[in-house]
Amino acid sequence: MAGFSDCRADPAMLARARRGDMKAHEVLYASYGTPVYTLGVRMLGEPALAEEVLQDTCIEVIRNLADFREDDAFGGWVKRIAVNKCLAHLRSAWHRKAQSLEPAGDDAPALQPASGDDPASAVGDGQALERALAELSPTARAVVWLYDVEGYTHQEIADLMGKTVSFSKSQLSRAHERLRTLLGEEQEVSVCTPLPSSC
Amino acid sequence: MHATTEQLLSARDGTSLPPAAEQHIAACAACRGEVQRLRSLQARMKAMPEIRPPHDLWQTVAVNAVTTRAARRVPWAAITGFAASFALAMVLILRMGPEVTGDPVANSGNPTDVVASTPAPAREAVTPDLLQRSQRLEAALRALPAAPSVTRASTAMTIADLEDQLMLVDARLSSGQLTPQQEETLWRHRVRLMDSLVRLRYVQINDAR
Repeated sequence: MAGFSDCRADPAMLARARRGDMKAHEVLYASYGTPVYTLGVRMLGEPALAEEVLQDTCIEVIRNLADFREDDAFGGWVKRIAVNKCLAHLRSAWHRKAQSLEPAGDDAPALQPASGDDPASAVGDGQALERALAELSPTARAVVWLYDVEGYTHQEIADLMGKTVSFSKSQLSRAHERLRTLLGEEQEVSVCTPLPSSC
Repeated sequence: MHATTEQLLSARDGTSLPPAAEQHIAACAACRGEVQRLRSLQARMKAMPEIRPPHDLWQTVAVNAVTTRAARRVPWAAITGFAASFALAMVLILRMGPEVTGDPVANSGNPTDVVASTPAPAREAVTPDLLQRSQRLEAALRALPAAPSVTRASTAMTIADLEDQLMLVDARLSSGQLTPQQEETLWRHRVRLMDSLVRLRYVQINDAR
């Protein structure tokens, strides 16, 4: 996944966009649209919400580009806006209400990943992972995605969410424990298997 | 006792661990296997494919042309003016209620950039309360700052639709061929439309802040 790392903008294009050239904005949108939409779908689990995040991000980019001067950091700037938009959705009362109406998933059985060496295996594995991520609570999913994929630190996640570092760490741990169950990857290890002279 | 998930994640990421946990993971095949599994899961998540947005999504954003406004910084005086306008608009909105009574306020305001001023009623005192509410809504509308240059297409279209409906209502009210009952109905409809317009414009402006 290329993501925001490939989201670079030509300085000349940025200059045109700053002058209000909508064609230039459309070119910029072509570079960040997919990473922003992907982030929205992965963090929020809803294509409709991801569309809203993309629209809002796009509007904010257009409105604030004139004040943004670090051309080399354009991708990071857009990513920061998009992450904030996603988190705003998670904080919204509407989102919390929608989640509270969904059945609790703690007892959900493990998802069956495709197995074997056939070409469909990787696709099936990806789908199982997608479904497992969708089973996480929105907050846990957001923390996993921000930490494991987008490379945010626990401190950054804590700052973004208005929580503590411990909160971020415990959300990540619990999410991974749940993912392990959902993906059926639990090991039969009730006792330690020591190596010589330790454990 | 095995390492906790938090410790295993720290081992995966190479961040600091208590010495005892570090020694345990180094010595325990199961824990090292778990660290490897976590590493593999992270790689699988990073390798998940990108998802392309609907191809026409751009069209839902770029409704109004961006002008040189983008390159201009807003002076503090303007910000203060905006804040005052917001406060005034909100006071006016909050003061409006269904039980407003009294004589109609003379319509001395200028037409707004959005809708025409309240048309003169065909008969005196036919709908004083509605007329007054309509005029207050127009005042609230005037007090709001200009629409942002870029906005959601859906919001812009709804505002345009409300404005079109208001124009039709005003045209009918100005026709002078209405029964008192028809006139009353149209005035009620006008106030409802104005109310929706003010609220939507407020949301639109608030959205842009």
